Amino acid sequence: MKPAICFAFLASASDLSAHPHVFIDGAVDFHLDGKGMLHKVEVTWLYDKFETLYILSSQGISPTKDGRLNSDDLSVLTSLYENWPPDFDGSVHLKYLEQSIDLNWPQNASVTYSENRLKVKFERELKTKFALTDTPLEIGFYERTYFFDFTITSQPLVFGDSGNCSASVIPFEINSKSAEILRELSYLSREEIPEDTEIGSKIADRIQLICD
Amino acid sequence: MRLRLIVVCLGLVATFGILFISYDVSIPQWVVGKQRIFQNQMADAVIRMRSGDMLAITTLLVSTATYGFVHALGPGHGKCLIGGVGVGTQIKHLDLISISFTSSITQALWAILLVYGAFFFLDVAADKIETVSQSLLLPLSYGAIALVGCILIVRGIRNVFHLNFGTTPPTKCTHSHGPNFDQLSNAFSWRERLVLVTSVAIRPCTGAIFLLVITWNLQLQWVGVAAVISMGLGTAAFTSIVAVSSISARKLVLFESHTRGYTKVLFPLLQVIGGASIILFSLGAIYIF
Repeated sequence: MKPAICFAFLASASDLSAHPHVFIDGAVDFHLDGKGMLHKVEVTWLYDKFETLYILSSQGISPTKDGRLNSDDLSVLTSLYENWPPDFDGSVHLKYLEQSIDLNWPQNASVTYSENRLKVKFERELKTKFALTDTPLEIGFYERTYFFDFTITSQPLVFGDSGNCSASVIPFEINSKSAEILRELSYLSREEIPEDTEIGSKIADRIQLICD
Repeated sequence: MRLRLIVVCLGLVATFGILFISYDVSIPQWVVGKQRIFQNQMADAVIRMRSGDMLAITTLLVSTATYGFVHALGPGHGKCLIGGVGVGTQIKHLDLISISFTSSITQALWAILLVYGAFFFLDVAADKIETVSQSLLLPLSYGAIALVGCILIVRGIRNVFHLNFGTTPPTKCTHSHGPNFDQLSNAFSWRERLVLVTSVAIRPCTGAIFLLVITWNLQLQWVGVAAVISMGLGTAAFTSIVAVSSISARKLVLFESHTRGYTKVLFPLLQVIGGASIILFSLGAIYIF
């Protein structure tokens, strides 16, 4: 695995830290088939400028004077996102009635670069198509150790035969339970991991996908 | 005398203020938000410098110094350690401030040596540096922190035995020598200072590692050196506030007791409390590995 992406996924690989060092604005969109079954999610990551600079410099890539990357550079970067580490946790986590829904490995990665930020898109097929109901499908957008701070910044889109289906974002807000988790985090140094290695899931933005 | 009292009262208020905001749940969130802003400022400045705009170094140095200050405001062991020593020893303001600065600058220099050394001598990939830092240096750091706590506790216990009961103190740890109260004014030895500085400095900040990797890759090595030292100065500025506050708080507590003859009991108690806080902190950190 090449250094940049290896480093980028270090957190998911080795439970590195309880405090975020990489900030990702993102989106999760949904694809339904002709029968209204959910079969694919499309994930977008927009890296912060610092991490973008880290990734580009690690690859020896410099943008042009007008702030663009040439096609060769984009190909190099895209190839990085076609080789995910085995324990990559995906950043998107589907749950229905507290049961996890399995996803296939990321595919169809694409990379763009604009305003000093790298944008990565990839798709994940559901292992088994899922029939949406009026009980919400919960989608968490996080990295479990919170080395990456994921934020949903775009309204989720539903493609295909969406019928009466809709997706809404539930941003993370501090409540009494999450306050306790944040308090736990506040006792740790920035470079430490908490006992709870699923800390990211508890302070994550979420999406609810529901069909009336 | 009244002025001194006002000063120590203000120090106490500042100490508790810092403790309060450190443990308020909204502060870590605030720190994370600020960290993101400063990281972006750093990236913008480095991008400008890569394009030949060397004046952007001023932006970079300001943003790294502010990053260091805010970084220290968030969770971290440095202020716990410095505060514990300030409360639990008779160290003077300037001494503890100099330790704060020495620790932070040593931490910065160690990060530079680690990252640039790894690239220059070993051609090591960046992820390996961070892994070594996490898996080896962090536990070492907390071992050293625990040692500082041990020194304070043992000293406190020995003082209680020596000053109040006249018995031979327990001698499991041999970091200090049976003191009387006057000797305590110079009790924080160079050897102990070395342990303190090492415990803070041995584990470099992840943000500094990131920045050094970027500047090495962009062949802006000296920019990285200046930026990381600036980051260390920002951190030192905050821990110095903790140093002054903790010493002021200790002086306030002892000021009243001194006139009533409580000091001989109260000061060892402060040492034990300071040491225990540091050990609990380090044990908590070690436990999670």
